[in-house]
Amino acid sequence: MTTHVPLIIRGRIIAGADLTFGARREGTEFSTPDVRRHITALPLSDAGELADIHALSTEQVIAFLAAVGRELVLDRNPFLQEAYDLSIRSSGLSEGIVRQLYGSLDTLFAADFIRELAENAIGIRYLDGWVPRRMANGSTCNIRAFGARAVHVLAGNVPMPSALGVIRNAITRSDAIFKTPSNDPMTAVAIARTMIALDPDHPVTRHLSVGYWKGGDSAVEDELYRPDRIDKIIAWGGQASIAHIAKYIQPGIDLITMDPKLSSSIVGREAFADEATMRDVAGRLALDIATFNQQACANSRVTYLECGIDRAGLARANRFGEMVFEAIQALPAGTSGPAPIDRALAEELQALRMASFDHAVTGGGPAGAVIVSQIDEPVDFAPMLNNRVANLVPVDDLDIAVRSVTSYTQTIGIWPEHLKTRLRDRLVFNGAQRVVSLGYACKAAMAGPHDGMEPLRRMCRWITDEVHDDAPTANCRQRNELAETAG
Amino acid sequence: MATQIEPREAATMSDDPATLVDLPLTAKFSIPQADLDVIQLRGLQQRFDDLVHRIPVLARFAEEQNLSRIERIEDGALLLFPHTIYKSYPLSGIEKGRYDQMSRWLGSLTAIDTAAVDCDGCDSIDDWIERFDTQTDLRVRHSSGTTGKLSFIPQSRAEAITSVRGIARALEPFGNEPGARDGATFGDLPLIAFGYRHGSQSFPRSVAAIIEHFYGGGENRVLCLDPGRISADMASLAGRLEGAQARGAVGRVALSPGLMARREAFLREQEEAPRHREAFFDALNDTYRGQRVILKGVLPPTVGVAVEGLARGLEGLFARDSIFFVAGGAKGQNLPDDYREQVERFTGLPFPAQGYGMSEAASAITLMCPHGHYHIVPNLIPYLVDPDSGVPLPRKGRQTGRLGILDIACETRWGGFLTGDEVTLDFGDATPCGCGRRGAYIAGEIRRYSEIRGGDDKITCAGAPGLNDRALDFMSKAGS
Repeated sequence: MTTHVPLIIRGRIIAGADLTFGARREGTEFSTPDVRRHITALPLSDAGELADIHALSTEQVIAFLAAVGRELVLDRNPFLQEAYDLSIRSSGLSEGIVRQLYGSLDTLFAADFIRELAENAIGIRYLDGWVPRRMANGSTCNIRAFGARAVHVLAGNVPMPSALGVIRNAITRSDAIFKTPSNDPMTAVAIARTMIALDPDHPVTRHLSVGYWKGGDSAVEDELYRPDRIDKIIAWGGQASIAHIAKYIQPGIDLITMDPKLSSSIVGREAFADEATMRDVAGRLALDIATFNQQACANSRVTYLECGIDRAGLARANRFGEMVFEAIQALPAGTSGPAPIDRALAEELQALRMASFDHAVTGGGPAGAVIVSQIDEPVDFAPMLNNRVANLVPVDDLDIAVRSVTSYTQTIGIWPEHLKTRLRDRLVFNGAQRVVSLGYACKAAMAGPHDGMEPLRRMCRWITDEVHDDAPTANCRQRNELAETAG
Repeated sequence: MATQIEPREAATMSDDPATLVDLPLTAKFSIPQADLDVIQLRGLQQRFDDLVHRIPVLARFAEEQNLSRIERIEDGALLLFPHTIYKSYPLSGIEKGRYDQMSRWLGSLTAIDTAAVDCDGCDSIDDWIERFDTQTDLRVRHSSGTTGKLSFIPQSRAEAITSVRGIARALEPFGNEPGARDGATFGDLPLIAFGYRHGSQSFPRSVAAIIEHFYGGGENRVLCLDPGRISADMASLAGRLEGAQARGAVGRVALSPGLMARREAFLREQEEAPRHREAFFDALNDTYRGQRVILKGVLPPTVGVAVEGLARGLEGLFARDSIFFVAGGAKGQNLPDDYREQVERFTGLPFPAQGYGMSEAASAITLMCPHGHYHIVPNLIPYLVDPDSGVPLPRKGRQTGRLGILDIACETRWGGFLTGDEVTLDFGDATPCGCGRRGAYIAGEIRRYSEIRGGDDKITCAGAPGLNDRALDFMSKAGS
C-alpha cells in the first residue's frame, strides 16, 4: 500500500508522486515529490525575510501554536489521521501506543508548556527585544536572541521530535527545513498542513518547510548545506546520519547533534529485602523499560542489580526478572503493548536461549522478554534491545554499573533515592546526562536541558549591540601610558 | 546430456550423504527430482538421528519445535540456526581469557568432544584455536568479525576436506559446456592463492585443506600472496575497535596480555609485508609465467593483485587453459569500474564465472551457469522463509525470501542455518533452467538483508586491510 506524502514549502502544498520510497518496514511505502526538482525554492533565498517572524512577540507565537494545538485532535484532524495510519504500519509500535502518542500531541502545544519552555530555555525578554547588560569595561551590552536558517534532520521513532521541532523553530523565530525520516515521513507534514489550514500566511507557517529525500542524496544536500543558504543543522540520529552531514560542516554552518542515546537503571540492594519491595521496584522498572514499547532514548535497556552473583544472588535476580516480566505484561495498553520483536533481535534472543550457559531468558515473541545475565555483564547486543526486551545484570559491586556509563548514556533511573544521590556525580563524570528516580525515566521535564546541553539556546544566534560612554580613543591613551611606563 | 543416477547408487549416497559432494559436476546436476527428494530426506533423517543426541543445541532446537524425528523434508526448515548461534558466547570470554568456558560453549555446537581440550595457559584466540587443531579433529573457522564479535564455526577436519573436494568439482564443466576437459584440478597444476596461507578464516583454512588433500601436504607448487597468518586476535581487536568507536568507548578496549606479548611480532610482520609482496610478484614472473595454473581468490584481493601487477608491468601471465576461481562479491569495497578488464589483462585469462557459497556449509560453492543462475548442489536442501515472520515458504515454483540451507554433508555439526541473503529461488519443478542442470536454482540478484535494511558491516574475508591497519595502529600506540 502506497501513501502519498506532499512536500511543504513555506505554506505551499506541493503534490505529485515523482518518487516512491520504502518506509523501513516491509510492504510499507510512500510516494512524494522529488525534492531535487524544487531545490531552488527550498532555502530562504533572502535572509532578510526573517524579519516578519521577528516582528511577532513570544505571546503572539504562543497564541498561534496553541491554536494549532487545538486542531491537533486525532479524531477530527484528517492530516493527523493519515500520519497515524502510516505510523501504525511503519513505526514498530503497538496500535495502543501510537494512539496514545498522537492523541496527546496537543498537550505539547499548550500555551503554559510553551511559555515555560521559552522562559526556562532562553528567557522571553531575550526573544522579544534587546536586553541591556552593564559590562565591567563601562560599556552597555544589549543582547538579543535571533532566529537562524536551519535544517532539522528528524528522527522518526515517535512523533515527538516533529512536534518539538515545530515548537522550537517557532519560539526561536527561525526558518526551518525539516528533512523527515523514512519511518515517519508524515507527522511533520500533518502539523504543517494543520498550520496551513489555520492560516497559510502566518509567519510561523511561512517559516516551515517539510520534505523527504534520502539521507546523503548529494543532489539535494550539495545545494542546501551551504553557508549562504543555511546557518545551522540540527540533526537527530546515529553515525550514518551524521556521517552524511559531517562533510558539509564548515565555517558558517553550526551542527547541533541530538545523538542516539541509550539509558539504563540501577537497583540497590535494599530492593531485595522482601517480596513486596521487590515487586514494587519491579513495577517501577517495568515502566522505565516498556513505556512507548522501549522505542525512546530514555527507556531502560540494561539494569544493574546489587543483589550479588553468588548462587543466592542469581536466584534473587532470576526471581526479580520474572516479576519485571509480569509487571511489563500488566501495563495499560496506552503505555505499552505486545508488538513483534525485530528479526535481528529475535535471533540474538533465540541464540541465547539455545546456546548460552550465561543467560536466563523469560518470555520472547510479542510479549517481550527479560534476559537475566548469570554473569556480571550485560549481553553483547545490549544496544539493540527494544520492543520490551530488557537485560538484568546482577553484580556484587555497583562500580561495574558506574564504569559501564559512556558518553552515549542518557538517562539512568535509580532506586532507592539515596543511592542516586551517592552515585550521581560519578555517573555524570563518565557521561550520563540525566539521573532520575526509578519509574520516571519516560516522564522527562521537556522544558529542561536536553542530553547535557541547551539546544534552544544553540538554535539562536546570540547578537550583541554594544554602547560605550567613554571616548573611542580611551583605550589607546591607556596603551600609550603603559608604553611610557614601560619605557 | 543428463546422466541418470541408478537407484542403487542413490541408496549408497544417502548412506553417506557426504559422498554427494564428490559426484562429478554433470552427475550432481542430473539427478531426477524424485530421486533427489528420496536421497535428501534419507540424508536429513540420518544426520538428525545421528546428531540430535550429540549436539546439545540441536537437541534444544528440536525440543522447542516438538520434533523427535524427521518425517518430511519440510521439517528441516524448523531446524535452521540463525547466524547468532555461532557467536552466542559472551565477548568477555575472549577479553578475559576464559577459554575453558569458550570450549564448553563451542562443545554445545559440535559432536566432537571439547571437554578434554587442555586450555591451561591459553592466552589468545589463535592459541585457543590451535589447541583444537593439535588435540582434536576440529578445524575451527572464524568470521571477519566486523560486527565487533567473531563467529566460530566448529568445522571438522573431514568437513574441511569435503569442502575442498566440493570446490574441485565446482570447477568442472557441466556436460558439453566449455572448461577443463582433461579433468585437471588441484594437485595436477600449481596453485596460486590470492590471500593468506595461514589462519583460521575460511580462505586460509581452505588453502590448507587443498594442500593437505591434493598436494600431499607439499608446499612447493603452492604460492600464496601472503605466506603469513591472518590472526583471529587481530580480526577480533579490529572488530571490537570498530564497535567501540560506534559506542564512543575506544579508550576502553583492553589488550589481553597474550596479545601484548605478540605485539612486536605483529608489527614486524607488517614491516615485512612489502617484502612478501615483492617475492610474490617475482615468483609469478620468474616461476609461473606462461604456466598452466589454478588461481584461487576472493574478489577484492584478486583485483588488488591485478592492479598492482599491471603497475609492475606484468601482463598475460598464465597459460590460456589455466583454471581460475574467484569467490564472493565486492563485499562493500570499491573496485575500479574496469576491474574485470584489469584482471583479464593481468592474468591473460577470461574473467571467471562468479561463485556463490557460504562458509557455514560443508560444501555449497556453485558457479554461475551460462544462463546466469546459481544452481544448488545436491548435498544442500534449500528452504525459503519469510524475512520478518520466519515462516517457511512453499517449496515449489518460484519464491522470494530469506535463504535457509540444510547441508546434509555436515557430519559433526548441524548443517542447518539461515543465510542473511534475500534470493529468488526457482525450485526447478515447473520452469527448469535452460542450461540443462536439474534441480533448484537462484534466479536473479542476491541481496544481503543488512544492505537492504541499511548498511552492511561485513568486510572482506581475506585480510580486511583497513581494519587490520587500524588494529595495528591501536596496538603500536598501546605500547608507547
